[in-house]
Amino acid sequence: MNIPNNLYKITACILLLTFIQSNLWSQDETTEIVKKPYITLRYFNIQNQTQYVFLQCLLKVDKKVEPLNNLSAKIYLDDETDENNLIGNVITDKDGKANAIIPVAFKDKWLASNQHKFIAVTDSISEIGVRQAEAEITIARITMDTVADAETRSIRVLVEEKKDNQWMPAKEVEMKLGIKRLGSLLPLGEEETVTTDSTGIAIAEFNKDSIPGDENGNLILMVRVEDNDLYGNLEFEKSVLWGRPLQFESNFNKRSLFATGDKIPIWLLSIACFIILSVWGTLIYLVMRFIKMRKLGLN
Amino acid sequence: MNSSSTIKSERVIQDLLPKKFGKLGKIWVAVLSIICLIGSYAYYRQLSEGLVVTSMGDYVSWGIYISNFVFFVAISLVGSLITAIFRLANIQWSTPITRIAEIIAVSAIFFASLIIIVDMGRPERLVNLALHPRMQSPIMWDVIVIGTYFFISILLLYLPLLPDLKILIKKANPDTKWLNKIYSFLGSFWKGTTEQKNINNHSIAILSVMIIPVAFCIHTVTSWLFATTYRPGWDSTNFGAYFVTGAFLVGAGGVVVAMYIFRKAYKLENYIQDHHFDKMGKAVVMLAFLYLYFNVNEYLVPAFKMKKPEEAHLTQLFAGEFAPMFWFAIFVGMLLPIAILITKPGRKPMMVFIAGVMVVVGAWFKRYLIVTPTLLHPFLPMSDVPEKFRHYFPSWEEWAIAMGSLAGAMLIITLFARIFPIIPIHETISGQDEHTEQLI
Repeated sequence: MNIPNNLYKITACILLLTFIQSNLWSQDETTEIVKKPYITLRYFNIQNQTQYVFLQCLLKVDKKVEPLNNLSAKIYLDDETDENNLIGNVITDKDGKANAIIPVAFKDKWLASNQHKFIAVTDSISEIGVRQAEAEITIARITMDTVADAETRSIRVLVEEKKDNQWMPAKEVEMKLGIKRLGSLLPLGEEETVTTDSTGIAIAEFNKDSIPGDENGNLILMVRVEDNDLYGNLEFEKSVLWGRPLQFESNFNKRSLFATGDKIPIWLLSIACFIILSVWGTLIYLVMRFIKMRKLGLN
Repeated sequence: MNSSSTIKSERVIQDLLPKKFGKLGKIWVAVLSIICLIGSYAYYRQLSEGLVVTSMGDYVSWGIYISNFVFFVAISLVGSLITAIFRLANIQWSTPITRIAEIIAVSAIFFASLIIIVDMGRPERLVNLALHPRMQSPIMWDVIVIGTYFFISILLLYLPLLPDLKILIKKANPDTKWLNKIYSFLGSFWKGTTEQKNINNHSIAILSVMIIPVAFCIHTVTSWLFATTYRPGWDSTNFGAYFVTGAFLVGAGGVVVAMYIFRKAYKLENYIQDHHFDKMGKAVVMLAFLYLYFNVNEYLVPAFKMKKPEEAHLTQLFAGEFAPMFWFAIFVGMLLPIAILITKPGRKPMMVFIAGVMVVVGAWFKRYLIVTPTLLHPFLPMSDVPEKFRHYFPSWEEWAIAMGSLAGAMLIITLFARIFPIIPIHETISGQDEHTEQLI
């Protein structure tokens, strides 16, 4: 066996393997980072009074989605080529979000058509360039009414869309209906949503008793159409006196372990006093015995 | 009493009467006094400059002061162990070491109280405890129980001293008038009548019973200062028992160290004999095993689960910044003393002394480990804190005050031994007489 020759072959194999291995690693290192922006535009109509457009800009880097903050964007109504249609310039916040309220000056343009399109044009995003997002809506409105008699209480929601400059019922519109609570809606029944019929009306029974309201028993009923393909986002709320008046009972000044010293729980005070009095009572007794012992000696 | 027993008694009195310091004693007192003075100066600086002179901050708000406080509270338990438990169990051999144990307890609890005031920064705020007491707080319980324990310990030191004071007054040295005045002030009323003896013995018996629950309370309540706080390493239901056993161990360790030093310094080999070291050595082994058992419970169970919020704390202890100190405390404070004292040759005076020193030193570091690493790893870390908040090393003022307090406690013990007999004279003579009567 020719040992030097074999040694040469083995060394060559190891070097080759090392080279392949290092190439594999280097391939990993040179993989391009994929960046993909997500620009979304949504229309909101609150209480049939306030209409605004909401812009959200996100950037997906590899598998991580990050907000595109501090990004400028222009929002137009119907035609982005005409600067007269500029609703406003917005800058995204730390979460990549921005709002633009449709100004009163756009009233004529708004009423001129039943359908509208919103266009957002962003400033150039690093390595990506300018991006654009659109949202199309049909003008719609939502109203809520309540009916109450001795036995039943119900809520009637009417959704209408604008057609030929007239308000027409909007059919098959699904919406959330409930009691407004902090950050969410408390459903009225097992179903969270209701859907309008052919007359654009949805009716829901209100069967809940003893729901805590405000100090007078006011509850806020809320109906919300969320991300509807035709109408966007619609919200309407109404205050009704159907709740139980809230009687707030503060525990702040009651006796507790976390209260101030003068509000110590009675049980703790009793135990503490019992222990302290027993121990110090005995000690005082011993001191008195000592005084007696001292007197005995001095006499 | 026959003539031979009178001669024996005279010899005991001569052996056990307080003696003037020799050269070594004077040097020892001088060194301790200097350390105390440095500590006092450091405290003066802290008072004038504020707690800013310490290394404590928003993270470690309880540093070496509270470690020292816990150490003092722990070592003070020895008073109840030796005086009360041994007395109630009618263990006769403990007579020569009862007073050593009691003076250790008194000096330790005195400095525990002082060091808490030092930690407060503004000592006048102590008044607020009386003006605005809040009984819901374990801190308030601790203050009450420390005060009670201190008072009981003082009584338990003083009442058994009364018969000895009569002897001291009788054997008054005309050269030390100031001492004679102290003896007269404290014990001139003691005539040793049957009624006085009855009252005294009855009082000591009541105190011996009382001090046991109070001693358990002081250590349990001190542990609750930590355990009622939701922090890694302190969030334990085991803490009361863990503290009590640790206190018993360090207290017993402290006594054997003091026993050896007093025996050597005052040549008390006839009174503190080898069998005392043998028995105390056995007690230390038992207590070290017990404390080791609680340590296993305290650390092994959380380490087995390794909950995420506790991981940083436990890792720092086992293998991180505090690992050398942690393993030092375990090995030197528990395992090595067990290894030394478990064998009969290991319970010779010198070996017991070495093991005792190990136990005491290990126990001091153990208290430091209970306090500091936990504070460095809160469950809810503060955001954007300066890097120095994440580390703690005491400033020279803190070291000086802590060492000054330790020196102060030793100085009290030393000065007590200069003024009063460190071994009860009357009880020793009575014990010998009983022993002689039994032989007859």
